[in-house]
Amino acid sequence: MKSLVALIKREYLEHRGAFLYAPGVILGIMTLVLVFGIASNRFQMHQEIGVPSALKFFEFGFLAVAALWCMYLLAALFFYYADAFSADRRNNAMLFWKSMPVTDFKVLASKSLAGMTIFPALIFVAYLITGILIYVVTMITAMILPRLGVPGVFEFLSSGFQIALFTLVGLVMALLWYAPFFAWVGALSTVFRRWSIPLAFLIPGLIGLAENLIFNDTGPRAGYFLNYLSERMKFGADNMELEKVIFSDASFNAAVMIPRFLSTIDWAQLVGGLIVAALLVYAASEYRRRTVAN
Amino acid sequence: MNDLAQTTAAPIVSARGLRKHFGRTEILHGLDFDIPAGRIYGLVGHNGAGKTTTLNALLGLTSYEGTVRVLGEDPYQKRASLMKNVAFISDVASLPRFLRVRELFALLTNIHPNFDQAKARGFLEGTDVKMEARIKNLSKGMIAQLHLAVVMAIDAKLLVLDEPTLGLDITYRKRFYRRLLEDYMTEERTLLITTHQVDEIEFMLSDIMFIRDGELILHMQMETVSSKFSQVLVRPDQVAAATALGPIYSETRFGQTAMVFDGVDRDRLAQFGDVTTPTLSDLFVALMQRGPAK
Amino acid sequence: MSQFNDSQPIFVQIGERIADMILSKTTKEGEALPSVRQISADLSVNPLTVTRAYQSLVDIGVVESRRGMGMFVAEGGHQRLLAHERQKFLTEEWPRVMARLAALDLDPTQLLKQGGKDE
Repeated sequence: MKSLVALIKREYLEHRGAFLYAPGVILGIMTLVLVFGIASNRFQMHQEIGVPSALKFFEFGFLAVAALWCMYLLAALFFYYADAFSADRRNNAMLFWKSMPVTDFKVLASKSLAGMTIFPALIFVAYLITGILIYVVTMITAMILPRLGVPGVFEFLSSGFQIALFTLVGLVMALLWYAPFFAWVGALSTVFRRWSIPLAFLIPGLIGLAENLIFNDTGPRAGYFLNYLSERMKFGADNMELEKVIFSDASFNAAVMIPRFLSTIDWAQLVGGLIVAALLVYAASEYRRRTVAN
Repeated sequence: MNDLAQTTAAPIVSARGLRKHFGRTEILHGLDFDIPAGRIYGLVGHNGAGKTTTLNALLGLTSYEGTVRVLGEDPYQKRASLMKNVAFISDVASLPRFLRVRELFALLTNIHPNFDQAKARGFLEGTDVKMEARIKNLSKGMIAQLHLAVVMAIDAKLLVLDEPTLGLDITYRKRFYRRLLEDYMTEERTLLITTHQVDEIEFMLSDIMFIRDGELILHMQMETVSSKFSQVLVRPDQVAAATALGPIYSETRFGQTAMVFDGVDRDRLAQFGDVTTPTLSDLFVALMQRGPAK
Repeated sequence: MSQFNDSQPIFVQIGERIADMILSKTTKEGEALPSVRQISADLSVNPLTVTRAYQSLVDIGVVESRRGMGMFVAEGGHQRLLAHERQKFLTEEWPRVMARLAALDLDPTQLLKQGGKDE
């Protein structure tokens, strides 16, 4: 509905700093470094680069920055949710939003969705642009080290596309996987505003501590609760033997890697997490419904 | 010419036994009142008397005990749907600071079914508020003008203004009310204003409510006020005789005694001195001083 | 703020201002008078009060309301207003003036003669 879209657009206008301007600056710096490197002929490649070919070099680079941008996105989203869920309590803005025919739940839902759609999309675009930069670096490296060979543009494009697709799927899954954590800091923000980030860690810590004190040495080290949390916070391609794939001769094959990746996901946990996230957002909206004062 | 007779249409706002507790303290002690359509209502009281709490209850911003119906609905349950037909400006300007004016209008067009952007732009003509301006860069007076333009562009049945001119200089205040009366008020619209500057809006009001310590100590039409209450500048030799008639208020300053009477025939008072209608502020002072018995 | 005196109801005072406009021929017969909305905004007064003021003039046939167009000075309105105000003056104000003159022991005929001379 266009009302929800308009609210998501509002989130974009208010918080695009970390998702548009900052990546822009990062890309700008990367480009400058690259240009500077080219201009001043600083590209000294040591023979120790173990990649068999230019294509593999590119794949390795493109996958590495995928991980970096994903980490950036997740961190930025964490701060976004911590801020956005209490943004309306500043400058009496709540009185404006309460005068609008939108429910508190819809407002919080729009914030939740903005963090799952437009902001990741912007980072993904930044990622793709980084891919172009990596391509440039690859070509330069290939010129310096002729043994790497120079594959055709089509091969680069195909490989780039495969990796981008893989990253996209990974990104979407990561967002869904971490949804309850985002909802947790958001819900805390609705109530505690600035203290949401420290409390997001403090409260689980205290619960874990309580468990340890009460149950004293029965169960796993650090207690069930903290163990569960630390497991739940892990996400990634650990089980996929990525290194083998990268350094093999075949180019990156999304048709193989994506299903393999999806099979490592604990779907029950994922869905359970989404339900928890929805409940947290609903609870936060009910709290917000009852507060007028800042 | 319009018939001044009251129709028997349902009141726009209806409250029965409206109570509000904050913790153990009871702020509102069971208010009962109806606000018919097409009226301009003033709600006057000291800070902490319960004005804002009453308004908050009417606008669905806070829970309460008792029954409140606005346009036939319970505002606390149906705030979002009620806000399609109810507009309010509360206290300080609370428009989203990070938006530009045109972005605000675009947002409102999409989230508010009764907002007319063309009208809002029209209301801004002749002001210094530009479409490209960022709201956070506008002066307080300009934000008030903008907020009023927004609210007047909403086709609402009830407009609630909670101290709308607080902190504005005289030019803006005059313009504010002028705009309202000239371009907005119709027989179908109802206006509810709270303000400290009673004199400013005295003649605009059709009805008045005084609230003191969570109780309504006065609720009547302005016409009734002028027929029921009289103020007399009592000649010094008549003070004793006048006092015998039981004034509700008496003040002597520079040898002059002013008394306010409730429900005493003006003809009987004429012998004591000049009889006039007390201004609302005079009446307010008089009724606030009085003990709890009415 | 105090553009109205506190001894007469507001609608009466507004009615008198409108009557002045008609009497002085600032607005002639058949011409439009300011709308209820206009007066209400100019004077910061409730529209119902202005309506009431106009109603009192409509009742004596001085003003007419034309649907969709506003308030106009009725044909013959000036005459009717003049007659009405004269009547009011003669029944209310004039007797008061006469009583006051009597109380102050002033001779009205003398006053008129002197007034004429000193002019």
